[in-house]
Amino acid sequence: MKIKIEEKNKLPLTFKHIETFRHQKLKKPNDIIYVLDCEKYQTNFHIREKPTKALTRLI
Amino acid sequence: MILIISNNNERTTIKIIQWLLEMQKKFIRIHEDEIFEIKIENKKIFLESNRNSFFLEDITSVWYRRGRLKIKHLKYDNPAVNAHMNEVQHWLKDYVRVTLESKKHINKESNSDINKLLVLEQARKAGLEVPEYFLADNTDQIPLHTTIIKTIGGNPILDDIDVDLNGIMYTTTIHQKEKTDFFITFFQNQIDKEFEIRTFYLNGKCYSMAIFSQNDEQTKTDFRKYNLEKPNRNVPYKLSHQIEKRIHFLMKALNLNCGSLDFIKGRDGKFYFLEVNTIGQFLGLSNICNYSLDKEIADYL
Repeated sequence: MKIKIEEKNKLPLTFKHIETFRHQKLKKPNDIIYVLDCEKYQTNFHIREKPTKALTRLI
Repeated sequence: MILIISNNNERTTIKIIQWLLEMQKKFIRIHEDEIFEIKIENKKIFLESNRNSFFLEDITSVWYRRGRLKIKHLKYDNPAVNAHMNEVQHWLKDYVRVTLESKKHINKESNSDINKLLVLEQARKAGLEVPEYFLADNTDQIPLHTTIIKTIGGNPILDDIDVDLNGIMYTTTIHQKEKTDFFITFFQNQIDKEFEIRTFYLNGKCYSMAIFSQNDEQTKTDFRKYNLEKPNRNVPYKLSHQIEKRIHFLMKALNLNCGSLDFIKGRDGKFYFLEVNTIGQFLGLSNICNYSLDKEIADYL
């Protein structure tokens, strides 16, 4: 989607080719990411994740 | 004790912490939402926030990942007193920051933002091949179809540029002349590429990955326009000893001991340097190429 940016001052040419993307909307219930407070990792945004790669691929 | 300066919601930090726990190394992770106060306990400098506290001398190494170490700054009513206390507080904070950065570290808060234009000059001095580039505010002398533009700043994303919309400025090829002048823009000769290379650099070692983005129209000019349906093929890659040595010279000149570097292998056989990202994502490269960079970082700290 093209957007019109109106500014009094000039902008770099990169603005002419700006592409837009929407804020991520939830498409299905599985897209909900639950975050937890986690003392071990000292964060309020801990996510339970599956390993990115099977162990057998690392051996 | 290891000090990790990061954001609260930052997944790479968690991966490194998992290794630190496994290696039984002690660490403190600090966030953007805490402000430290400099205190003195038993003649030793002590930093305290609402969720963390540590003695400055107990920190043995620092990993700067994201965000910054925020330190409380007091204001005074009398302008003369305020001016004087501004300076006093500045030197105290400066002492804390310089002391932390003089310890064993991976990246530094003070030089995590780097100037792309200066980096390109340094890259040339280090002997790396850099595509011809220039700054211009019009397209009068721009060769069409063989010149790209990209942003001079580090972040090409503009959050909330419109209602419910974010903007992103990808590297773009110029196909037409502009009638009017514009703000100074970065132009660079477009390299006819064979493939792209992303190299993660850590303390003199290079870990590279080749990205075959040239056969896909969507990713041809900028591989970050990810094709999720048919992703680019990525494979581990080894740069020549000479190029790795030049990368090392460049990183030394920039006073960086960690970062991700982008290259293009041209159809002319040359390896062209594009840019360095100091705080970029590297776990994707690590997972694809089995480099275990998270373990390497935890090992070093």
